[in-house]
Amino acid sequence: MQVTNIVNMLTSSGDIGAEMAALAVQSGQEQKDVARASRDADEAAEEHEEDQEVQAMRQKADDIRSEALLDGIGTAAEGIGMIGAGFSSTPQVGERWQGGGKLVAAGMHIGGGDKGAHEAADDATAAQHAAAADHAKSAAEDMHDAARDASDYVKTAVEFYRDYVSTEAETRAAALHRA
Amino acid sequence: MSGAVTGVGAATPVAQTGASADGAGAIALLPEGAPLSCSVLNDAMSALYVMMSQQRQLGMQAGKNRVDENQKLRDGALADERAALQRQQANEADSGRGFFGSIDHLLRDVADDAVHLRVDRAVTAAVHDTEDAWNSPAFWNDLEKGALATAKVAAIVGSVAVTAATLGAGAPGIALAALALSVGGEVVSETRVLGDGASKWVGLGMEVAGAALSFDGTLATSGASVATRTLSTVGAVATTTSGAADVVAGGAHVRNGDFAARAQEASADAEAARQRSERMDELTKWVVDQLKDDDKSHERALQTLQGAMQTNNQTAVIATSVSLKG
Repeated sequence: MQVTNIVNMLTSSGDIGAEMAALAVQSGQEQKDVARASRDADEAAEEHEEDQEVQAMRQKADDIRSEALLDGIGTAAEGIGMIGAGFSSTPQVGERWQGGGKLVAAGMHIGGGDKGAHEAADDATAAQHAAAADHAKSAAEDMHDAARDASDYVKTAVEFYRDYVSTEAETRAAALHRA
Repeated sequence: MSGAVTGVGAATPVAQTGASADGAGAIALLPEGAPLSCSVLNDAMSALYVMMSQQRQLGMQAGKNRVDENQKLRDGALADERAALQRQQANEADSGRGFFGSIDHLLRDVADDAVHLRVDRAVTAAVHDTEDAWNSPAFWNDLEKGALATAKVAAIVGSVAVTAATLGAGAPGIALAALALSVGGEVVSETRVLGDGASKWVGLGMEVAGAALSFDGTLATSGASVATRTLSTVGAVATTTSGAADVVAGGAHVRNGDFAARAQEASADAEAARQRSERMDELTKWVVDQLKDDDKSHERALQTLQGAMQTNNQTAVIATSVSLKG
């Protein structure tokens, strides 16, 4: 607020050099603020995308576990059907046991969905978020550089004003000296 | 702050404001608006110089604290990443002792303790080794593979045995083939169609083969029910074995899936820690850049102030020399 007041004061001082410097400082400061705000937003986006990427990886772990569970239960059910068939008194009963086991196994496989499809989808989601995070990171770095450029711009304006004041003072001193 | 004001006040009278209204006697922080002499101006600028230098140091210190804080967070993230990678490795399918390795280890430990009559240690070792096997991904991986292979082989054996038992009625075919060979051998021997020597031996061979087949066919015919029953039993045992192996393979598959899921979770943890670490690196870089910019800015401001003080002094010198000349 104080800096803004000083800049406003210099802008309306009537001194052309001060006005130019004040406007340049004001512009540079605004550029810097905008760049920093963008950088923070990009950084937040990067963080969000990275979180989503990790979330997709965790989802893949859940999918691996649940698919293995369904597959395992299906295989075991098939095995139980075969054991039942082995102990059955007639071939017809044995076939029923085996058929029942295979039916349960098929149901489990259907319930589990296409093997590996969920994992592949999770991988794709993670890769998508990783790419978005990289993009946001790159944008944040660009905005950081832009903020530094804006700082350099302000610095240049201040140096200009310093030289301007110095030259003015030297001119006055020389005039005074001549007098 | 008061110190800095005291520095200014040493050369300039400090205005007392608000004292008449409530008697509080508040001290103003700035000198009153009278025209300032060169020495007063220099004192003010010196005080400003000191304040700016202090601010610069404080800024540097604050920045350093932030960098240290980020460094600690980064170190923590790196430690988390290392731990997660170790967890991931421990849950990989080839980690730990395999099936036979685990059994071998268990037997050796138990045998060693048993030889030395350390029963309590043998029990402890057995429990410990069993826990190791339970938590070893390689053990479950081997078990699943072995159980699946056993299930397949047993299923084939069972299938062949059951098929053979079902086709036990093929014995009459064998008898017919034996009959054909025996009759053919007799014909060859009698007609001597292959010459004297050859016909004799070929006919004899065919008759012997026919006799053998006939004997086998007789056996098959007479013992068909026994062989069928035996084949059926073999088929049932093989089918049951295959089923049991399937159950084991199914259980092992669930366990292996759990290990794979844990490895994947550890991989996700490692990735999260790596991202945190990189973010800390990035933030530290930004803080350092900001510090550099601020420091340069302070340096420039101090140089400007120094220049202003010099200009002020030079102006004072010129003014004095002019007044002396005048």
